[in-house]
Amino acid sequence: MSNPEPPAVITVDGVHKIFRDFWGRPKVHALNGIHFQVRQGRVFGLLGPNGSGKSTTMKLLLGLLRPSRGSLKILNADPQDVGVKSRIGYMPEESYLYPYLSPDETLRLYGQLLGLSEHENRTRTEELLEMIGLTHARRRPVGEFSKGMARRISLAQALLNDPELILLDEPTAGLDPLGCRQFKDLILHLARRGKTIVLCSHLLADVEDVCDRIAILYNGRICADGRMRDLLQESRICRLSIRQPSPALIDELQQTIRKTTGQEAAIDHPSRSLEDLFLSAIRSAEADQTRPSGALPEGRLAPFLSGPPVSETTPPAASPP
Amino acid sequence: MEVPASPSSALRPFVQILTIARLTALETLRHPIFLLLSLTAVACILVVPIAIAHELGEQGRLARDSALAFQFGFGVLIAGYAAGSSLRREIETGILSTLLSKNIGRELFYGGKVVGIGAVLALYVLVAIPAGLLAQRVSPLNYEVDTLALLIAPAAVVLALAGAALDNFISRRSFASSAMIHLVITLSAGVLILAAFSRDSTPVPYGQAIEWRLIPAQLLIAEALLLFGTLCLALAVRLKTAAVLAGAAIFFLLGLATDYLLGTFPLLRGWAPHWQVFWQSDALAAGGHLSGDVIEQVSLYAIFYLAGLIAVGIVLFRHQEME
Amino acid sequence: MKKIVALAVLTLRSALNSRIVLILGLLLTLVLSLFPLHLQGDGTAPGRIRILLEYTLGAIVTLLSFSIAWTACNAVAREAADRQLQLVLTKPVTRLQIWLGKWLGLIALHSAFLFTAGLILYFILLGSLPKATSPSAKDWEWAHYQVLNPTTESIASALDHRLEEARQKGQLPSKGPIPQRTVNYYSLEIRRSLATLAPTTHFAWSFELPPEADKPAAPLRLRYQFSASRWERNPVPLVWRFQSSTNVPAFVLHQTAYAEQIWELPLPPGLHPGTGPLLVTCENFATNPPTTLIFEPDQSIHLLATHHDNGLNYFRGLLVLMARLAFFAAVGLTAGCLFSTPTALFFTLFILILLSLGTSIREVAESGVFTISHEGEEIGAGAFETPILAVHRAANSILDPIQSLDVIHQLGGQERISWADVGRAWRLYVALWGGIFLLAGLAALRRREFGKPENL
Repeated sequence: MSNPEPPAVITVDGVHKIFRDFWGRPKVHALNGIHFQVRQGRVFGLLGPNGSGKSTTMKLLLGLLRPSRGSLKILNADPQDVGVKSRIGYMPEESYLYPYLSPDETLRLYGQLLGLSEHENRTRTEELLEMIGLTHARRRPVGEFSKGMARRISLAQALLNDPELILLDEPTAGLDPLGCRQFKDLILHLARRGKTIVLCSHLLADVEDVCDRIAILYNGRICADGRMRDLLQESRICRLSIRQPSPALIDELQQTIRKTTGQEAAIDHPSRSLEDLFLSAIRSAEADQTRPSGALPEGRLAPFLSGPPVSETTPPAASPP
Repeated sequence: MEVPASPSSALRPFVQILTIARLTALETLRHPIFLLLSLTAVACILVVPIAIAHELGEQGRLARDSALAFQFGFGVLIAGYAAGSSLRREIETGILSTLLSKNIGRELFYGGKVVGIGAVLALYVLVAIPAGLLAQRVSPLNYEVDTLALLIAPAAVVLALAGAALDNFISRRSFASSAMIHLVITLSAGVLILAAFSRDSTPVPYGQAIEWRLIPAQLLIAEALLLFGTLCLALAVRLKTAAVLAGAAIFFLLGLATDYLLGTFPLLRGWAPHWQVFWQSDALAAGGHLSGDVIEQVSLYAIFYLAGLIAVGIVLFRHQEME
Repeated sequence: MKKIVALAVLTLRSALNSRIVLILGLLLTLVLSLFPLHLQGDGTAPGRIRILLEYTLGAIVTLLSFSIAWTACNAVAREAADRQLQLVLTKPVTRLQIWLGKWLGLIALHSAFLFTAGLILYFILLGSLPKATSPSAKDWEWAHYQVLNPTTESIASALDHRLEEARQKGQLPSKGPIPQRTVNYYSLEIRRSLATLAPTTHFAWSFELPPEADKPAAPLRLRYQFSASRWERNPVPLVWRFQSSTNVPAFVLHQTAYAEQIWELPLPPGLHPGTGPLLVTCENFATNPPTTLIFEPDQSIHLLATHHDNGLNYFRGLLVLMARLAFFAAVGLTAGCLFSTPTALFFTLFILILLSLGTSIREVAESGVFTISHEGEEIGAGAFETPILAVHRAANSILDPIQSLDVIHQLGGQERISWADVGRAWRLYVALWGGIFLLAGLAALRRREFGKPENL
């Protein structure tokens, strides 16, 4: 008997988001009817190129934006419901912190807004400052911090209420490799504690390391979604798993396969990398749509950058210093 | 492949200054506050002479004085805001670091900013001048109302806004900047139409019915505004917008009461700006005109003061570290 | 409540961190140190009180009004632009809590400035009053008064008669409604003619006195001013009679006064036993040369009830000013919810300037854009008059109640500000208009989407 599916924490059903101009005419179709569900205890990754609608989806889930069509439920409530926000933690893409407050004051402030008791607020602030390694800088204004330090405070405020659902927008941006590793460990740890986590990121390796389900957004549509394992698996190829097979058995199996199919079989179960999956999903979506944005559309270079290397061209005329 | 010719090195500084100036002007004009302030100035210039017409017998003078005063007052706000916000915002957001990483000298960049602010103020003055001329006609004279002017003046404003709305609907161009251009056109057209009719709406030899002699006085006010804008720009190199406005306000008040406040300090008095020299409304009383000598002297004063302020601004800007 | 307090403290911190507070402190210090030095008055205690309070307190309140408008606009608009508000909105905080928290923070900061500057000014005032000629003079020099106006005379029948006469003379159209400003003009004319005293004639004003007036602690004073029919400044002999409707004998005062000057007469306590109106009659005895006296309706005669609790009166004045600042904070916050910073500031300052134009707006609303000529002929702006008047009347109906609370002028004129005035100010500025702006701000915050891509 299979385990029953855990309840859905997020349900997004046919959501459209259209930004309009002053006259009410559509200006940008940010989301075009997306559907997905995130179940309790899952780490869900929202992927997509720039301008694909990831951040818009996050802001819709937080009730900062309202859908033009379709419906969203978050912890069985409308995202506009203020009460539900005490069960959510959100770490924004950039650190939207008050620059004149210190880390200590920042966490205390959000603790008060979350309705924590004074004792709880104090204890959790201490513990979180310890966790993010900023105890030594607790009295310095956040405005003086590096981007990485500010991201860590941003993370701490998202965890202050020990939320059931954690929304992370580009969580590892601005963190050094060690910080990234620690962050991913933290996500896995929280997931083990039954927290539901939604993260959107460009860093595919990070997503691959921590997510068990993903959705790939392109031009406001979901072009691939499902369990990470299923999506990465090459289903046309089969891997036979045998516990401690003897070399003779392997040899025999290979000979049988060679004899039957005429192929040399690798007895293995290859996986595509997430990056391969991501690129193939985007390419197939591109086949029938115009790409909205991105740093290098279709890998093309600007013409003046695609000329021969500098050493092969005529040296520039000497100019006065 | 044919490479487009780059501007010759002799012309490059001018191209760079114009590029920075255009950028500054477009950025300022795009913001609704610029339109709001200009519209309020036009409304005050046109309405105040009507609203307080019964207070004094000198309606002509009242309309003239209020037109010049409102042009100056709102111009000061526009100059302060445009200068303060454009440079300060670029310093704070880091845009300036990107711009200065290109091969453009700080002096040229600062010069471009001054020209940009000048362009913004020029557009504002082009709105204020026809508004001032219309105010002369809108204002009742001896309790007699100029019906044609009372129809044309509000119609010019409404038409400008409607035109800008249509422009925004069709071409998606910024409403605020489009409205400013439309205001210049419709208010000027209003003046040109009224130039053919007397106060009782009968045709007169073209141009007679407009008090063109107000324009030189308005241009002197424009020079004062340029000075003020340049001053704010110099302050914005080191101060935040609020501090720029406060500093500029002090400087402004100092300039209004130079003789009273600094009478006993000849050195300070010599260096403080004398806004009074730009206010030549009295010369227009009793049908008078501004003499060429006065215009020349005041303009020379403005040019020297402006050069000084630009020099101070450049020195400050050269030593400014980008945060 | 804890969340509101947290947001109030945050707003306070934000304002303290910005340069505006530093600049404000500096400017207030300048005002408090320079104004009392330069403003000397006419050498009398009332003159000193008037000039010092009207100018210095006026400057303080103007600075605070600008500051609160600026910080209020920034409190929402700037935080929305810098996205800090986005993060706050992801916490379990309602829009109402955000608005109230910010409003309270702004009021706390500016009230601290107002009361500190107010207290310093009060002590400067106390220390710099000219020495009184006698202890009793000091008593009335350093006091404040409750201004009592006479009840308006009933002139309905006289007005009807006068209007009919004007119709018959052709000064007014024979049919149709008469514009309100024409009615006002004739009403004023009648009231002015009633209070015009030819030699040996008299006129009586009736005063309804509040229960606390005319007690030993608050003896009455008569303040009056008149114009005379002669240009030469001759003294005019007058007889004043004060009589309540009960059988108490009239108190009679003989005085010789000059025209165009404000006169004050101290009256003995107990003139009015407590019920019915007090009749104040003036008889003109200027027969040589014969001089007619004109008392301008509503302006030329008042009874003043004296009070000595100056500190408390001043404190009540500051409370009214605090309500005014609270109102500006509400306007600024709501403007910040609707627009970006500079536009919000423009909107707030527009309201502030509109308030300061209240008197002019009232004049236009009541008497029209153009006046009636001396021949009684109406000169209007034809078709344009109706919309201009409509706008002025609409603005006046909003501004008029607020305009009547000119507390700085009242404090300068040593007028009493009652607790009822304080209550009225808070009801009007905070409960009514603050409430309206709160609702508008909440509607704007609810409708507004945060985190939209820029330039959309």
